[in-house]
Amino acid sequence: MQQILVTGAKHAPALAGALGYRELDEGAGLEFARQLVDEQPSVVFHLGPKSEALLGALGRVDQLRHLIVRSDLAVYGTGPRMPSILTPTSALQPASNSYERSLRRLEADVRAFAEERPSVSVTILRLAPILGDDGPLSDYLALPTIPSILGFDPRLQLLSLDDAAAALAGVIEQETEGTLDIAGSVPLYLSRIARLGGRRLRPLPEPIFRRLASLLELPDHLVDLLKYGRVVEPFNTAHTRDTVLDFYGTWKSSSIV
Amino acid sequence: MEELLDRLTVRDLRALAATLNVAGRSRMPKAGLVDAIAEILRDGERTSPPDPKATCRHLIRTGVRCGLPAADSKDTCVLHGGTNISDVMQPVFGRLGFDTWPALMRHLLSATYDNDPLGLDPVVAEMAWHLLNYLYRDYFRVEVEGIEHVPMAGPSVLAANHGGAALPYDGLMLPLCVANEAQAPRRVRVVGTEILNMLPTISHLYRKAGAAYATPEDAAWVLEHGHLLGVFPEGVRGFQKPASEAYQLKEFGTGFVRVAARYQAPIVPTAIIGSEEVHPTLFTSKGLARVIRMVFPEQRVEEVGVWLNPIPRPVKWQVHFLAPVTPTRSDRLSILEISEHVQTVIQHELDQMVEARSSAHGAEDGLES
Repeated sequence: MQQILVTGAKHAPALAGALGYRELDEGAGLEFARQLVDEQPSVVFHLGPKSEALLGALGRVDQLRHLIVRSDLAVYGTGPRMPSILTPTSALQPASNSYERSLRRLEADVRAFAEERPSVSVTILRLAPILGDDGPLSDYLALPTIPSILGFDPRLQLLSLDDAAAALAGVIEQETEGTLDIAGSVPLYLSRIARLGGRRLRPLPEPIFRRLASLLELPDHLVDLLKYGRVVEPFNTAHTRDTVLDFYGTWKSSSIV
Repeated sequence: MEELLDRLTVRDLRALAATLNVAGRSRMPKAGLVDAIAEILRDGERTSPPDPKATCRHLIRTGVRCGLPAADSKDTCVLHGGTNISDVMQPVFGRLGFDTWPALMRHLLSATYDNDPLGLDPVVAEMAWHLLNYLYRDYFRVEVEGIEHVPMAGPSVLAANHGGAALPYDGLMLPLCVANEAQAPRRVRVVGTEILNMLPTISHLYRKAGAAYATPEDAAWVLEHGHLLGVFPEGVRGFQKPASEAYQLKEFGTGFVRVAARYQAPIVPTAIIGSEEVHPTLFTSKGLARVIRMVFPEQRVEEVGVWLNPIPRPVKWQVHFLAPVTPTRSDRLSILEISEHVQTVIQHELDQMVEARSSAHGAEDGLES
């Protein structure tokens, strides 16, 4: 019998909800680790940004067959020297914010764990930004006028919550190993995303945009993304346009209600 | 019709919706799918044109067809899959003209079609093609020879000498040579340096127009998918030569040969004259390069050419495509040999072209021709 456990769900409540597996939330410090050892899960899906307690506890879970860790495409970094289409073997760009650095630490820890426990399948999922999860990017794209950086039109690949959950379920089912990029199948320029949503783009000089971004609570890694964009060779998922249209469709109807 | 459709499973309905291109189908409930498909099928019965090949049948919204002229032997237009936009440069209406711009603008603004994975926007690229053609035909009066050396299909590389000092005019003219003169108008995917990614406005326009960033990954993508790559193996050093060294090639990089060898792609040596006299460089400055490195810390430029004319000079251009060479082995020495061979062939042709030009017109730079 497979026992699937989702940990760190509080860091991505919408995604955890869409997955629908049993959750074990990170308690204070070692309390969480003890609970995890007691549970003896066979599949662990970790959504959180930290891995010390998790990997420590998993060292004592003999039943463990498959560990899946959520990472983010932000791990690639972004910048003017980035290839136009990234693959899991592409070199990482110099990290320019703390989010990217913490993701790289997380991935390194998980890879070390994979070497220690060759009997466990380990999957690192690098997810594209998810639309409709009440995250900062969804809030930003839902603005009636979307501010952008003057002179830059980033290419973005966005995921819907359902697509992300479906891709994850597929990974659990097939026990896919290794590092996977999961993103919308066709990248769109930010200007087109705005047009699809019937919104106006308001380009602002970069310093002003950065100040506005801190007011909008848009984290640094998303500001960098909105300058240079990022495109990967995606996993088999829906077209970014469908995702965007659905996002704006539901946003519109819910705003009327 | 709804009753018939209702008997199908959701899975079949999704597949049907996919063939009919129903927007938002992936998360529509069954009833929604039935309604949307029925609407399209009824609409098709009412308004299907007498000749199904005449206009594009792609649905841009539920029940609204694209209506642009269909590409050859397809029932969709250039924008909606009628041609492989990454490889073929074909105008949406079969010809370029300002009368086509309103329709193009409408599609650009309603965002109904896809960009290619490198970021090419076929409408922006077509508008750029149309505008730059005035530069190509009336200003630089580009003369092309040896266009038959450019392969009609499959992965291939155009390797040309670089010049211009102010703007990479050769990077703009090279794709036009192939689009305007070749029998099968292919799109040349020129690759440029990271400064293009840093400059406001240029940062997205160059991608939309069909260029890419000069990195092994981008070049490999172009060749892996069987497209036509355009490179300037001299890089920035070639771009910034002083006028006294015009048409004296700087040492070629080897990256383009390495990637060509991986895909067995023929390399077409390309000699361009004209580019060096558009903004003649008076001298090169290391101090100015230092200032540029302060503004763009990631730039590796060591010298910058200084030129005075704000308006490009109307020099007559000549572009010669030479016999292709295919790298068959990928060891280091073979790659160096091919790189040197391509450089020698281009240098030899450039020398002949410059000599022929000055003896024919007694002019230094072809302004009088």
